Amino acid sequence: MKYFLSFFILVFATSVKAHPLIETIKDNDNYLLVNEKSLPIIDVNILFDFGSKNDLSKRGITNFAFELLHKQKYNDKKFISIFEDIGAQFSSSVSRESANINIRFINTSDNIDIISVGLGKMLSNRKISTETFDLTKESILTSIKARDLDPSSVLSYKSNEEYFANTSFSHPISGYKNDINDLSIKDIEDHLTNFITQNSIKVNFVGDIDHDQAIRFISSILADLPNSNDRIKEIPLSNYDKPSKTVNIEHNSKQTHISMMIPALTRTDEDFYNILVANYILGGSGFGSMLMSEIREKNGLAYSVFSYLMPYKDIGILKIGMQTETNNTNKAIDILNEQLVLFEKFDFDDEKIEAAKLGLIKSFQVRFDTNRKILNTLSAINDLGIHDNYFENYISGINKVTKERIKRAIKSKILFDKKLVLTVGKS
Amino acid sequence: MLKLHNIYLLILLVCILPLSQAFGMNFSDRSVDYSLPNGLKVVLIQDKRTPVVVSSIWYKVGSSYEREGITGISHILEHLMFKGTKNTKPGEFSRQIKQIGGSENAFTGRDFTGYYQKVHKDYLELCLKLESDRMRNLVFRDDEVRKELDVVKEERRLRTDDQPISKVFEKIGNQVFGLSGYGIPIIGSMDDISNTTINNLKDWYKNHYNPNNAIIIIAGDIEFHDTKKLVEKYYGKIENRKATQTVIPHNHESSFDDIIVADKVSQPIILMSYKHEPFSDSNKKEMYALELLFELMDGSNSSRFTRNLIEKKKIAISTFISYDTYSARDNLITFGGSPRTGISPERFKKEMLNEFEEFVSSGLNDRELDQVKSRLLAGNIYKFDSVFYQVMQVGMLETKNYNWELLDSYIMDINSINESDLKNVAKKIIINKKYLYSLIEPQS
Repeated sequence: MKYFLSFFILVFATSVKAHPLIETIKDNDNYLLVNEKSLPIIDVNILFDFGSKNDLSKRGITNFAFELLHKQKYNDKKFISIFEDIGAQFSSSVSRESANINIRFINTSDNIDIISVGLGKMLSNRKISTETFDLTKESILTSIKARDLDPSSVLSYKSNEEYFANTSFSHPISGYKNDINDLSIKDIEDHLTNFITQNSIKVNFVGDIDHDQAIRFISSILADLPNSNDRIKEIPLSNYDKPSKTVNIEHNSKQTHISMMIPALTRTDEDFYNILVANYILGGSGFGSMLMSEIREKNGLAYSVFSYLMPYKDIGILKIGMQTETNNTNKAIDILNEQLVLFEKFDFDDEKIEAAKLGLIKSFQVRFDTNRKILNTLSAINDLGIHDNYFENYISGINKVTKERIKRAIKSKILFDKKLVLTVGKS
Repeated sequence: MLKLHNIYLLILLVCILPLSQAFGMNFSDRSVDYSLPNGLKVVLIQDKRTPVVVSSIWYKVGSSYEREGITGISHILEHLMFKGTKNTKPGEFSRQIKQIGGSENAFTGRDFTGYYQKVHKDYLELCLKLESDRMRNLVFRDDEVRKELDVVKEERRLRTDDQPISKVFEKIGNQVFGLSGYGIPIIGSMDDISNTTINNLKDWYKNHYNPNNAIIIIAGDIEFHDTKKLVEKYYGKIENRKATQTVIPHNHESSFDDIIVADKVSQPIILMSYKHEPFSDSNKKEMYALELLFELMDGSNSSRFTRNLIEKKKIAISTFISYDTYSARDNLITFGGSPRTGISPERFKKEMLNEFEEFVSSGLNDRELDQVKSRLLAGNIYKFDSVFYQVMQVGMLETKNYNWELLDSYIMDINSINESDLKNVAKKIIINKKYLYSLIEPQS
C-alpha cells in the first residue's frame, strides 16, 4: 500500500508546465516521448507512413489489413484479447496518407512487456485464418453497403472521388465492393510484409514511461520487422485544378448535406498561420464565426456549419460543411458563397484579427489537458516532422500574423476559382 | 519465449486492482461539497495536472420532466441560454469565452440540462459571472426564439429523422413508457418543437432555473478557499423564484408488441428491449452485477457475443448492448445487432438469448470474471485523464439525486460481485422477463 500512497502525493504535487515537454528517444526524430507521471497510464501511438494512397489497384487493402492485424492469433489467442484482458484499450485506423495504432494501458512493468512484445509479434505475424478473413470481409462489405445509405458518408466519399479524381487519393479508404471481393489472404499478408518495416514506423509515447523503458518498448516492436527501404518513390499529389463546379448526388433524406472544397495550402507552408487565423474568423471557431453567424444565428438554417484546413503532405484544402432541410439548400449555398466573397476580400478591422489571434493562442495554451490530446498532437507533428520547438513556433507563428499578410496569403494560396461544391439530398 | 496468456492474471490481481482502489480514494480526498443558504449545491474537485478549469452548472431538469405538448422544451431552453441576458447581447457569452481561449458547450439529458466552460484557471471568475447572470437574467427575444426553433428542427432532422436506429428507439420508448419519463425523446417531437411558445419557455426557465434546483461543479487547478469565495460572490445572493410544481400523470400501460419497420439499413438490425427499474441503494449490488454481466457478454473482443455469436457460430456480424447503470426512473436495457448473411433475424434473436441461458447453466470459464473486472477497473482509471469527464460523472449522478461518492465505492462494489450474482441477474432481468422485439429490415 505504501507505493500507492506515495503515488497519490505525486499526483497532486505535480507542477504545472507551460506546455508538454517533447523528448526524442535515442536521438531519433521518429520516436517522441512526453513523460507525464501524474497518472499511472501509458498511451502509445504507432504511426505508419502508408495509408490508402498505397492501395494501388487493390483499393481498400490497407484498411482491410489493419482490420485483421489484431485479430491474428498468438498462442491460440487473438492479440486484441491479450491486450484487453489486462485492461488495455486498443484501436487502429487508416487515413489516406498514414495508418495508426493506439494503445492505452496501466503502467506496470509486466504490462509494458506484454504490450510491447505483443505489438511486435502482431506486426510481424502473418497468421490470418480463413474464418477471420471471411468474417472481416463480410463486415467491410456491409459497411460499404451502409455507406451509400447515409448522406454524410455519401458526401464524404463522393467529394473525395471528385476532388482527387485520377489520383491515389480518390477512392474511399474502405475501398469498393468488387476490389474487396477480389482480395485474398495472401494479398493482405503480402501487403503487410511489404509495408510494415522498421523504416515505415514512428512511435509516440505519452504518460508514465521513462526514456529507457521507451527504448526497450521500441526495440520489442521492431525486433522481428525487416529493415527495408525499398519503397517505390511516390509522385507528389497535385491539387484540384479544374474550374469551379457544383455536383448534386440524389439521395432520399430530409436534409441536404453540403460540402465545399477549395484548394489551399499545406501545414508546412510559410503562410499556414495567416490562413489559420483567417479560417478562425471564417468558420473555424464556432459561434461568432462568419459562417455560424450567417447560417445558424441569423438564418436558423443549420445546426452545424464549419470550415477547416485539411492539410495533406503535398497539398491542402479549405473545407466547408453543413446540412440543411432540402428546401433551403439554394439559400444556404448562396449565403456560403456571399461569405466566401467577404472572406476573399478580407476587409476586416484589426481588432477582429487581433481577437482571433488572441483566441487561438489562448486556446492553444489550454488544449493539452489530457494525455490523449497530447498523444494526438504528438502523432500529427511527428508525421509532419515539425516537433522541434513546435509549441513556441505555433505561438510565434500566430503572433506574426497581420491583416496584410492574411490578404496576401488568401490571394496567393486559396484558389477560389477552383471550388468544388457537392450536395447530397433530394434535387 | 514470453507466455503472454499466463501472465495477465498475476498482473490483474497484484497491480490493477490496488491501483484502481488508490484512485477511487483520491476522488473524494481532493473534493469538497456543500450548499449555499439558497440551496445551490457546490462540488469542487481539485486536479492540478494542467492549469485548466472546467466550470459547470447542472439544472435538475431534462426530457423526463416534460409532458405531451411541450416535449423537447428543456433542450430548446438550453439553446436559448446563449441568446443574451439583460446584461449581455445574443452570442456575447460565447464570444467572451472564445476570446480567452476557452471552449464551452451545453447538453440536455433525460434528467439534467448542463452548461460548461473549459478555460485557463485565471478566467474562472469570468465563467461564474456570466453563468450566474444567465441563471436569473435571460431575455427571450421573439426573433431569436423563432430562429432557434428552426435550428433545433434541423438538429432533429440530423440526429433522428435521417437515422433509422434513432427513430426505432423513439418508437420503443413510446411503447414502453408513453410520452412520460424516459419515453419522451430528448430532442422532442417535430410538432412540439414547432409549437413551442415564449411563454412555455419562460415558465420552464422560471420553474427550473433556480439555485435550489442546480448544482455547480468546478474541477481542475483550483484552490478550495478562493473558489468558494467566488461561488458565494456570484451565486450567494440569487434568490429562488416561486416555482409551480406540475404533477405529470403517469398511467401508461407498456406495450411489448413487436416493432417491424423497413428503413435505410444495409442489413437487418434487431433490438431486444427490457423495462428495468431505477438504481437505488437497495438494488446497487444487482445493478453492478448487471454491468459486469453485460461486460462479460459484449464488453470486448473476447466477450461472449463476439467469441460465440460472431466467431464460433458465425451468426452475427455485429452486436451491441445499451444500458445505463445509474438510471433515476424506469428505463430500458436494449441489446441486439445484425445477423450474418443467410442467418434469419429470428435465429439470431434466439441465439442471443441462448448466450444468457448458456451462461446460467454452465457458468464462467477459467479467469473470465477476473478479465471482465480488469477491463472495468482499468477503464475506471482511464477516466481520470479528463477533468471534463470527472465533472460529467459527478453531474450525471448528482442530478439524479445519487451522491457522487458512489464513484469512490465503485471499485469495492465491483470487486464484491461473484459468479452467482451474475447468474441471478441474468435469470431475473433477462431470461425471466418479457421484452420488446424490434426489427429494422432493409428497404427494398
